[in-house]
Amino acid sequence: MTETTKKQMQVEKRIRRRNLNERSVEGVLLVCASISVISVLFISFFIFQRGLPLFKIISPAKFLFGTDWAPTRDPNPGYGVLPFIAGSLYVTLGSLVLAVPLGIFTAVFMAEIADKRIVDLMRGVVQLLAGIPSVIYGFFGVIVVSKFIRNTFGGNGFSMLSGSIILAIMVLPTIINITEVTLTSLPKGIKEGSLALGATRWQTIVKVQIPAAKSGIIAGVVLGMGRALGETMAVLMVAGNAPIMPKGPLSMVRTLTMNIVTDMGYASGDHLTALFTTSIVLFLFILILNLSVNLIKGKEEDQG
Amino acid sequence: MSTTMTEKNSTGASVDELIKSEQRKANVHFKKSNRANAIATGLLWGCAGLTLLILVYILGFILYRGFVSSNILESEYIDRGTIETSIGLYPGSSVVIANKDLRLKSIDYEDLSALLKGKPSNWGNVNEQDLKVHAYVLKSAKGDFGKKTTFLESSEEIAEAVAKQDGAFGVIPVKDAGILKDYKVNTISVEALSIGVNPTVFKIENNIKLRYIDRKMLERILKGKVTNWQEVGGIDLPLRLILPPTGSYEYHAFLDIAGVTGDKIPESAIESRTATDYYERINGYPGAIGLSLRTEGDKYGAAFLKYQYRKTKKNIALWFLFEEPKRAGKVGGVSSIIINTVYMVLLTVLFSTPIGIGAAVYLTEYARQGTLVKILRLGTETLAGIPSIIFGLFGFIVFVGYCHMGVGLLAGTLTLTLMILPTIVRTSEEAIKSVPRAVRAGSLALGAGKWQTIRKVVIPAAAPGILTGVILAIGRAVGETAALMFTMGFDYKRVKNLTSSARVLSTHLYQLVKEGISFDRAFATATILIVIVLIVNVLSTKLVKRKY
Amino acid sequence: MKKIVTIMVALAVLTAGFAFASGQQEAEVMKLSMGGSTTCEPIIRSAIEAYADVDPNAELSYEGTGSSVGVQSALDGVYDLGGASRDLKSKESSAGAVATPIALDGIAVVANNSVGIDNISLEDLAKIYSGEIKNWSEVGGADVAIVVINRDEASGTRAAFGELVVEKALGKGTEYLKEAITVESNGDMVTKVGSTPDSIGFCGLGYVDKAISGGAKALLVEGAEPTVDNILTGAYKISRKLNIVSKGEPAGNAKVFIDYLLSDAGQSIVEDEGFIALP
Repeated sequence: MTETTKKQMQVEKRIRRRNLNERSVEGVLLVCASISVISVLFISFFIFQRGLPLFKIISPAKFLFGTDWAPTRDPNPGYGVLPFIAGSLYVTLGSLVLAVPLGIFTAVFMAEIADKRIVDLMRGVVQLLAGIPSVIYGFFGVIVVSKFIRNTFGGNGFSMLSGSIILAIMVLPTIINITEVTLTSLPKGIKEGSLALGATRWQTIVKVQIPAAKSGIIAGVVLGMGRALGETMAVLMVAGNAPIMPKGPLSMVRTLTMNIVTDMGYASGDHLTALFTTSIVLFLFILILNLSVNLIKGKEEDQG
Repeated sequence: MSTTMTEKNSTGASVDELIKSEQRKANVHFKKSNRANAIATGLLWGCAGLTLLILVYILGFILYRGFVSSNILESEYIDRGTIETSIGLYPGSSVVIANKDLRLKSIDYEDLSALLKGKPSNWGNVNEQDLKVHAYVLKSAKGDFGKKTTFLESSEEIAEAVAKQDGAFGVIPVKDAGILKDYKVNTISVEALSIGVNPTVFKIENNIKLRYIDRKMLERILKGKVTNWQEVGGIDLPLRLILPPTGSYEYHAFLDIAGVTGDKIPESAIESRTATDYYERINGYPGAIGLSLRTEGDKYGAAFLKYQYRKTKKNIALWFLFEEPKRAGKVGGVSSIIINTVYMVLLTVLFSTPIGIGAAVYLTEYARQGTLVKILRLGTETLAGIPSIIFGLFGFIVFVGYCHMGVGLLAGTLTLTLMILPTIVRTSEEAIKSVPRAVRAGSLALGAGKWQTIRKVVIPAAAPGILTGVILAIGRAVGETAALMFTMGFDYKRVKNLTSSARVLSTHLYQLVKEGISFDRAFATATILIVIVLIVNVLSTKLVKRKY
Repeated sequence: MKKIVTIMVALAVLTAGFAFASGQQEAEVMKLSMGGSTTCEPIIRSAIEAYADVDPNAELSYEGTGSSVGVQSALDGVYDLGGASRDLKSKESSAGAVATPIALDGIAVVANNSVGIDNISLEDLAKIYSGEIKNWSEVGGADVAIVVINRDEASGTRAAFGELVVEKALGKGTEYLKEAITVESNGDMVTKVGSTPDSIGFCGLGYVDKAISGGAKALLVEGAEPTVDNILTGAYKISRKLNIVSKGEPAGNAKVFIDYLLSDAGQSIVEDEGFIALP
């Protein structure tokens, strides 16, 4: 054997070992990546296992479209969750209407206009707020927001609108953070190219940068929506929590999460099952939202 | 179009004019777009300003409430303590002294006599300090005393005992007050002045009964400006102000609170010459009111009106960080809870960061577009959307139940890990994606393997972004309540092992607010939480800056 | 990168360290796991802390999970003792649950300071909560709508209030008004009543101070103020027992702890926590 072939063999051996290494690394990483999916499957399995038995005593239609929630009434308890479905939808949409424009504009401001010092300040504040427990937001809501609503719009202050405002404040950090990260990580060339072609800064932002950052922004909004839909403690304290059909922005409202947490500590028997069934509704809700957002995103990516 | 142009040109319109008109058009366009630009910039400034305003307002609100406590209190005593007070223990006035470590500036007469009777036996109910009560009085003292009150021979002995013993207080006659400068003790002022009224004032008519008066009402009454109890929220009954005998303790208090001098006393006030006169009148005249020393008023069987006032004081202090919580958080600080929180964050980061980065690397670097990736991505996004309350329920069923971990640290952190995983995956993905292709190509071209490149080049380059994600996730974990309620438990002692029930700052806060234990403490806890998040943020920003 | 690895390793060692440290446990110590009513929680937690003076090695724990969970878990054997802020249901008694009263608690009616009236009759109160009376002018106050705040569907306090007030005055089976702000804790109740003009709510006696400090007042019911004396004499009508529940008659460690709760030391803790000692 010549020196070269020996060396060649050594190199080949090293490459083979590295390939093996690569493959095992890939395997481990795949496991990491699939933990999310596995968790989702597990979570759905257990929630369904606990919640579905309710349909032995009440029809799904009566559960979903019933408006009478009185699980401790004896006899003939009521298990209608339509008011909570409506409540969750209204409050979440309301909060997104308030938070999305504000959040995106603020992120654009941070990424494009403000000088570094302001950005650092804002980033600090935003990160701090993401870490504040929702109970505190709720407390703030009771003392400040509901008073504001009461004095400006009337009513007793505990309403859909108050809930939406508090939720909007709570999802702002998520939306701002992710939008800003996406915007700043866009390749510089995109912006410079647009400016060089004579587009104004505003045109560049609206027509070039935001579209380019769309996937990140949508992700931010989805995360925000998830937080809004799933938020419990803060809305619990400001939205009134009355189990009635919401009649307007100033009407009291109870959301699905509020319904779960309100009764969870005490419920037993069918009542407890009904709470798990409520969580199935919430879960499906989020699943549908995620799927539709993914569909939209997928379509756009295909077109692009 | 072009033909007309040529025609125009050929018909002799000067080229110059044409250029000018075009320039004008361009100018208008430019101006317009400039204006649009300005409006847009203004809009962005406005939005950012509004956001910042909202966020800073909330932050300010929490921090303010964290440092300043402001509560409305109702008491049968006016918030006007004096160092030398007649409390009936000794002939003449007495002075109350306390150990230096006792956080107490003033105490009302009722609490004081209760403490001397041995109830409560702990300072917790009085000043939220977890210390046993030790009372010292002279052997000659008169009154009702508990079994644990110690009787000593001289004021010097009392002062010495109080100086040495934690949670000790003592009462000495005012004539001995001179010795106190030689001992390390605090003097405590005693609130012993009440508002005595005739019992008729408390009649119920039309569902209305006078419950309390506040400082402003009291001032107006003492100035003679109120003639009927209706004016201060009571029933329809003429108000009769009784004037204390000139020169008495009550008289000086009267002048002081009413803010008048001796010659401006309201004419409507009914004068009394002696203390007996005074207290008998309060008790005898319907609708009568007069400032009363509690010890005197009690003798004549007077009724006392509650006094409502706002007490503002410093809330959070250093001791709050270093004392163990006691009695469901009503007493003591949060030291063990901070430690539990640190453990929780460390464990959660330990579990979630490697998995999160691994997943992100797989999704960005290894996976080929296809069904698998779509499913993985969908899984991550779905997980991100799942409400924390559902994580809580899931953790309760699986980790606590099926895996037999019990309600405790491990079950809680595993639940949290799942919850914050998507945040870390998403941000790490974005960060890894934003590492320029060239960096990778360079490394690969130099002969490095794919994993090597990722480990040594891509991840370090993406580290700031990843770190931001981890911080975001820590923020979420620290503030999480719903997922921990059913999985981590509420025991506020320091955790002993992975399965012991652990209360962290967020769940402590939740308990304090939910059970109405103490809103002041809740805000103090929130302030600590914010400071912790702040420290994490600052440290990590510095780390990022130093390295890159 | 190296640094991160170092930190990770350090973390792992730390974790392992304190997992080991816990490994050793001594036998023959008094152990009780308890849980249930959140109303009973402050009493029992304080009693656990104070019990350390009697037996420093005792391992006692209490989780505030709600009355029904407390009773059910005591029956299932998950808890040695359960706390319940209500009387046992007949189903629970027949399953073998035995309740030992450890304290009394009054339910105070609180109203925002803006409410003009100070006293209310049981009947009017019941009518407010059933929705028959909707305006404060009907009970002697100003002409404004009443903002009713109620506890959650499954709360023990709500159940007790319904039984002692609404059903007592208006007959069995009377339902609560649905359009009421619903809160899931005493803390939230006092915050809301304090901050919402024209509102009315109810809470345990121990929460009255908090309600006052937030801007509310405790109403007199039938002319009686919610005080310990009035509850003991029966002048104040809305009160209930706080129970500790065991499966079968309490025995062994459970009995030792219950005896401690009923001793002078235990009952003075009850008073310290703002509840009423058993007469």
